[in-house]
Amino acid sequence: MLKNYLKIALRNLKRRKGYSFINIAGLAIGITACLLLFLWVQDELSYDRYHEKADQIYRVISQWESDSQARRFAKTSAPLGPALVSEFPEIEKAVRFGSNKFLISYKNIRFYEYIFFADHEIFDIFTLPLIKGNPKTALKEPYSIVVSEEMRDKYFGEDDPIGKIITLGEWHDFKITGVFKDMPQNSHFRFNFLGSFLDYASHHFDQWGISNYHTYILTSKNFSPDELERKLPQFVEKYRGKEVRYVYKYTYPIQALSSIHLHSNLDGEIEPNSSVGTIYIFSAIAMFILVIACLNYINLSTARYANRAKEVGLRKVIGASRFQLIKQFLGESILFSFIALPLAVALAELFLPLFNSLYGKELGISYFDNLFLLFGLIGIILIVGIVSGIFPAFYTSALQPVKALRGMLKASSIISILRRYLVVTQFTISIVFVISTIVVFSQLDYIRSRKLGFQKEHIVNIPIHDKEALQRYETIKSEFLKDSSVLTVSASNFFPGKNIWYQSYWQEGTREDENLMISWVTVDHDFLDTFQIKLVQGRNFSRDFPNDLEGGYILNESAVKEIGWNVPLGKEFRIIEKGSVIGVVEDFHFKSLRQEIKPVALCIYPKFFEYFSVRISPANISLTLDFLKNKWQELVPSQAFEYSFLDEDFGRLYKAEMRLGKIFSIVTALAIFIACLGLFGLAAFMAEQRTKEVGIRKVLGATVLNIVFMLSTEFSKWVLLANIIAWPVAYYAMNRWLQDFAYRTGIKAWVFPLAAIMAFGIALLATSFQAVKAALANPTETLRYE
Amino acid sequence: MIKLKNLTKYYSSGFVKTFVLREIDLDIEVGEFVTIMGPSGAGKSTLLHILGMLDNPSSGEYHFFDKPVHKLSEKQLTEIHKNYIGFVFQSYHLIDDLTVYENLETPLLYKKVKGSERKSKVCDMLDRFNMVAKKNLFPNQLSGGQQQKAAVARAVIIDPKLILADEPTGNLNTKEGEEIMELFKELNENGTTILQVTHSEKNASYSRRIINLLDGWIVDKL
Repeated sequence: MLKNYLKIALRNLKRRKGYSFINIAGLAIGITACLLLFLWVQDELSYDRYHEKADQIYRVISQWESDSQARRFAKTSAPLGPALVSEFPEIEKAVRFGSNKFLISYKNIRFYEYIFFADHEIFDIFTLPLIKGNPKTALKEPYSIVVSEEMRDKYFGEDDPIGKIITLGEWHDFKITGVFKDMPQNSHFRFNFLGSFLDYASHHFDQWGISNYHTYILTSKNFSPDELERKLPQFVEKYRGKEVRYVYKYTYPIQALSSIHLHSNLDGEIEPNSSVGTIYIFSAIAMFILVIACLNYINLSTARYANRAKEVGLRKVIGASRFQLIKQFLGESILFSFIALPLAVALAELFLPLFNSLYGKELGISYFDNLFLLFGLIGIILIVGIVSGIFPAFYTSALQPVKALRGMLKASSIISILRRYLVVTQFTISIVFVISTIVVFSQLDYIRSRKLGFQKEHIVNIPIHDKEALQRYETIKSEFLKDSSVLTVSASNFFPGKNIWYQSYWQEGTREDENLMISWVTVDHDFLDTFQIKLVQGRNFSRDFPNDLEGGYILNESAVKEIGWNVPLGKEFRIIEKGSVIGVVEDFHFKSLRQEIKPVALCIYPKFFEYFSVRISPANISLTLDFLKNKWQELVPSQAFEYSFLDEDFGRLYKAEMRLGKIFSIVTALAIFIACLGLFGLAAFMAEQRTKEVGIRKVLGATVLNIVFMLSTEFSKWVLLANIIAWPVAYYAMNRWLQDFAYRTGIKAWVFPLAAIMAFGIALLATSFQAVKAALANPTETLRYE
Repeated sequence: MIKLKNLTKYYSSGFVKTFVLREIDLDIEVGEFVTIMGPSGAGKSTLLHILGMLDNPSSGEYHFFDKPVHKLSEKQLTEIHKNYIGFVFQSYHLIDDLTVYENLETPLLYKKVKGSERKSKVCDMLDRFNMVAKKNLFPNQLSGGQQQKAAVARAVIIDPKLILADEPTGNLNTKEGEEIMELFKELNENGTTILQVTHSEKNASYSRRIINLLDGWIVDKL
């Protein structure tokens, strides 16, 4: 019996190759998309969990109140870690991290690298296996450093790096005491070099006011975060004084290690993190695509079954029981959906490299490790097969044979209604995607074109690594200016989106030991000019006022507002050196548009300069770059010439959003494609059902155009309904997403009708082909009595 | 074998009842060859369908081998179909996706007949109907007459006590039609009861009893 069923199923498949292919392909594509997104979500959720003691590790961050707002900062000060360990028995160990970029030289190999520094306890807290070297002693000696496998290969090749000396820039020689396994990609921080912390941060060891380091703690097994929270105020008072605790409500919240990647997006993160919102969005997308694909499949399948009513009637006459019929159809349905599975997996493997490059991941489908995934997939296929088969199976098996045989069975009302809902749902989801994509791209466009309060076009950033060059910065600047296409040059530590230092500052009217915090950027006299930032009060830095060097402060409007001065000019102010406020500038966006503009102070402190920013004329850019490069090599032979364009650097702040935009557009195209497949097949079926009617109408005098119009517009009311449902859903979802941006474009009204028109157009396209085909059929053929 | 008493069938739409069969009384014995004749719309096919238990009367009684059909469950009806009745339609109604061999096999599969027995029955039937050469062809590769032969073979393969034929030669030419009627005659001579509905006087002449229907009533003569 099984063989009989199987034969029919496969032959049916072959006979209607077109439909079958559309059917199964649609389902497979849906499953593939779902699969890839699932892998991504799984990866994101797994961050940092590979550490053995992950559940006991927390990160300590800083929090204080300013302007009745709680401000949080991922970095803490150096003395915090050891203090916590000594005060609280349930905090067993602490490790502090610092990092900086250095020119590493070994023999004659030189590269700029990011070097991390940590206390030697790191090996007791995090899972960082050493392939060579002893974790107990590796970072205990002064000026010791461990390197990753990758770095070992890069600098030492086959040789054993242990004991060799590398030089960190102008600072000091370090001895390699270990090689560690490359860190996995699903870590919220990754490094290739780890030096001993003691040497790096020694000058900040008792500086509670300088928050430059990340602190992680290892707690005991029965640790309670709430209990620690209760005890913290006393701790703060003891180590930092009453003022800090009462006035600025300073405290040190903790974050569970595994929550950092998805839930922490503070200033001062080691690397930009993801957000849990993205996970939700992607999971929702995956689910929706799967839903569309499944609905599609069900839709087309039920259409197929209505066609087989005759066979059903016949089998009943021959003696099939209802149960046997149900078994047959259900089995067929599940069989077909299982055919989709290997196809989906093959497609997933095919697209995985592309997907990885899009999202900077290294995902792979490990079939046997990921049993969860495997069972999930099989489960989905089974469910789809059963759901799409059960209804027609039950329905057709209940048919009266006579009616079925006579072909008197029209697409019955129940199946028709079901089918309508399916198409409406598919289109609703697709329209939501279309609207979302449009909104995402609008926001991206807004970001690109919004006035930032400073000019970002045609500015070349040249990083300064050679500290010696800093001392000659004015000379370098005047040399650059010798070319006419170089308009202005400025030196600063300003870089888009860069984590600006928070520093405790002092202003007139506050006491010496009060600790208020502000962001500050070190700039030079030509900064405002180069970046075209507007002064609203007072004056720019000027060489005529020698005190401006390190003593002049320019604040932005937000800073003035926060401090609450009516007349800021002339007020005394200090971040590093005591000085006074000489000017106020318009607020400008120095960070991503996701964040509100915060108060910031500008002052001249050449020791901390990191970049030259060169405003050049838009003509002959490559020539100008050549000039800059040659000049640089002349003036700073010890450092290679590097450059980037400021507007591109800014663009990179929005990597996540751009990725989202890309993914959304792919997903939307996919959703629409699948929905169209479904509509196409459906239209074909319905045209077929109505061939007799079409034939009669033609005989009565309808033109081809009449017929096409009649058949195509059948779907327009469904698409309309889909629109009505989709609009509020899309509006709500996109509104939520836009909330993430402090500065955003609104959802324009024209988006909705545009999506509607697109939907109609696509539906028309999908159905018109079938409509035309039906309309062109010869009535003598269609009206022939069987 | 078959007893109809006061059988009536109507369709109602709204308040209007459309009568298709009115107060039919009919007795048919085992081994008879009966033709039901009448103009179009007289209710012939409906009567046949009710006799074949594919449709239910609106009122009246139907006894099949003394069993009250109007009281049987669907499951019991299926049993009767499987074992006692073979249907031959005007438009053959073979399963398009199966070969002739597989089409013949299908009723046996539903009866859960074992493999070797199935095979021998099918081969036997193919032989009897001279269709051995066609056994692996699909219905759309056969002529009308051959398809109808296959359909008859399928109806007969379960050794039914009763064959119901609805315009069996309607789509066939004269020669093919003759072939089919000869088959029926042969089956009847071997003891199978045959009930056919037809317009053709020629076909009717093969039978021994004619029942005339007019507007749902049985009439003696047209």
